[in-house]
Amino acid sequence: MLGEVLASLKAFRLVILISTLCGCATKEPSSAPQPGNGIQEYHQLTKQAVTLVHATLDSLELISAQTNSCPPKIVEAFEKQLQRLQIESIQVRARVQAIQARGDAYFENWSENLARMKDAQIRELAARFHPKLKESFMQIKLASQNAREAFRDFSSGLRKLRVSLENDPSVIRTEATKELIRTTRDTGQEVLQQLSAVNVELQAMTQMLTPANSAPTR
Amino acid sequence: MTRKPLLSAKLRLLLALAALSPLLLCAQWPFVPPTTPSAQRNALNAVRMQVDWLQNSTRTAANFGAQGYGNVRQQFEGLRGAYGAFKQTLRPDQLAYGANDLAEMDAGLDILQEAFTNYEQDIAEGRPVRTALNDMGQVMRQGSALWWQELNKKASRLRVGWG
Repeated sequence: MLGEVLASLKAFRLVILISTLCGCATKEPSSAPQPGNGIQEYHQLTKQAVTLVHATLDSLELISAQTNSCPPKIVEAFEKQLQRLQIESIQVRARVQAIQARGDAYFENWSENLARMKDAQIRELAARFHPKLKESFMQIKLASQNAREAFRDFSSGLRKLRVSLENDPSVIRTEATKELIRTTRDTGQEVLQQLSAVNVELQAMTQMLTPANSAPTR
Repeated sequence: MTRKPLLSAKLRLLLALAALSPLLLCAQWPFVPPTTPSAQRNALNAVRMQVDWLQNSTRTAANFGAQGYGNVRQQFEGLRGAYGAFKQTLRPDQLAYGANDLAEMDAGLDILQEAFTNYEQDIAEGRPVRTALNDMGQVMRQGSALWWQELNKKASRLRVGWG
């Protein structure tokens, strides 16, 4: 009981401290640009993309499970999911494309922003692990490129399937459609694999930049 | 007999070129927009307005067939132009700091533009124009809303329009 009270007091003090610090930050009159947390953002984007691709693959499975003709409700749900995929993946695809377009300059800009962080410990860690961070970035760049190519094929297969089903729901019986579903499913799995590779590297980068005394304990 | 008119024609051409040369120079003179906070705010507002126009055009596109499609494309080009003009109002430190963010916004526009290619492919594969236009409109409308949201976030990080 006492332990719980002490823990909540501690948490309360932490909240007060954080809100005080946030208040200080918002009062700052500087018009200098503020660095963002690129790693955390990209991690969030890839997590969302993984969820989206999983949902799309589930929708594809439902289509694939039909034997005679695809019911309109299932086709409609599939169309909606494809549209969601196209819209909600825009951010992650834009990030991937920017990384490819800028290449090393992307990493350098990101490093420069890290060097301007207020937290001296993060600045020090970024400088110390610069070569390792760059190595991780190169892996991210490669996996992102692979994910981008796989996504293009995945999206193209899904759109072809959508047109076929809209025109004739019984097309599901044909061998060509079954093959289209198979290849599209494979490219979807490939997207997931590449996104997972990106996430592994992003986690490694986060660990490198986490000060030892604030590392999460298990 | 024939040399004289030829000479005078050459002379006239030279004179015309000489007279026009300052105009040609003026036309090539690069216009550098101001990078003041108010210029940045105005340019960002112009982008927002263009996003609104683009979104409006997508709502009616399916009723007008090819003309509706052309209208959406035109508004999209307008958005590209407004965004390009906005970037020109950024200070060198903002451009340097936000190089990655801006590259991402550029890429976002390229990805949005893919909706047109997808539409054309869908039509080629036998999708009815109205259905394809509806779909393209939805992607463009919701996609541009996301793009604008992201631009706002990045603009705030870059202190766009701050005095």
